[in-house]
Amino acid sequence: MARWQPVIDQQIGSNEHLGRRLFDEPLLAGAQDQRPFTGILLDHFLEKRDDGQVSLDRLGQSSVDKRVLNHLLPLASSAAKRFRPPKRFDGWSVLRARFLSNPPCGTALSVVPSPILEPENEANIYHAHIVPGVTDPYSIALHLRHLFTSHGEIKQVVPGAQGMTGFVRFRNWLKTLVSFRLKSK
Amino acid sequence: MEATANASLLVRGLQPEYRGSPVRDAKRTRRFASLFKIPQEAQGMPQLDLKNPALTPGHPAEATWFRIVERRIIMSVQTNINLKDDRRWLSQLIAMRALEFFKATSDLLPSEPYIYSSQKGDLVAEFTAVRGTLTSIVSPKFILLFAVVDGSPMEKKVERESGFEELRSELRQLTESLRMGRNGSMATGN
Repeated sequence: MARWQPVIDQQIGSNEHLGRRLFDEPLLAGAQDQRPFTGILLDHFLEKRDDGQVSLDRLGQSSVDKRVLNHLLPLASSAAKRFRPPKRFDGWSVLRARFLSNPPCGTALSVVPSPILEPENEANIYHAHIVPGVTDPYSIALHLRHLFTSHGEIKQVVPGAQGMTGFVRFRNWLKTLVSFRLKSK
Repeated sequence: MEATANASLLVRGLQPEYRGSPVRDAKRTRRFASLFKIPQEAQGMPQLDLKNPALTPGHPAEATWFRIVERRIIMSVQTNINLKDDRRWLSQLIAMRALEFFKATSDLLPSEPYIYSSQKGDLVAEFTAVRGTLTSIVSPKFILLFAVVDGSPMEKKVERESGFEELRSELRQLTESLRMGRNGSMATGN
């Protein structure tokens, strides 16, 4: 089956799965002894840009499309490397679009498709963004985190899968299969 | 202003050490804490004497975790002025505001917080409670409190000018909800 291609000039469907990229975030220098935090850090939903638009990836029409994830993975990984200092891409926090347009609590947020067409190596037809209202960026980030945490799911990237070509993945799978067969004999 | 400038000079002279002995850490903590004594009129809020909190009149009791968090904040104060936008470090102003916040409210807060710096340089503290979670954001001008009680979010913003009494009053309402639930029923823990 072919990879899902969103119709660019069409509105985001209520069942579409939207993903917010998760990157590893630094710990405070003096707080390295803290117990790890089990939730999603607020920073994943904060945008530093002045326009306050919150970027998302459209991950599938009615469920998360694995082909779309595989297509976006190298883009997200290279975006992670562009941070100063570079970060690690950990996956997506995923939510159905209807929880943003018609949330069970709080303000409704509108999401618009905003494909990135250039530069070519950063092109992403799956890009969309949340139009910020007059609300304070922290309030939006807290609201988004609450929605993604209570109604969404995490699509984690398998460590080491980043940057792997299809051939390498196939070779690794074959190796695992052969070693499993040999062990079972 | 003069006090802040002196503090900057002193802070810059200290080397970041994360794995020092507890005695040295404690010494360093006391030294930093003494730097946070700034003129009351310059801040427009009741001054907190972090070096000797017992002398501050009407001071609330400290939570058991307060000293640990205080040490973490102080050890995260930016000592190298060339490190801009490095979220491993807190600015002196944010560290001071965060210490004031915890000093004034630790007795009301539900648990030891997980602290980190936001992209905007403010301090975020995450707490877990019986009936939900509490997030507080300490910025130079305001404190934002966001609680999720039994799945329902509640948000409060307290401007710095409002003072600690209002902050404590808002926080008390949120933490009571976090303990008892939105309708005031006591959590059974099941």
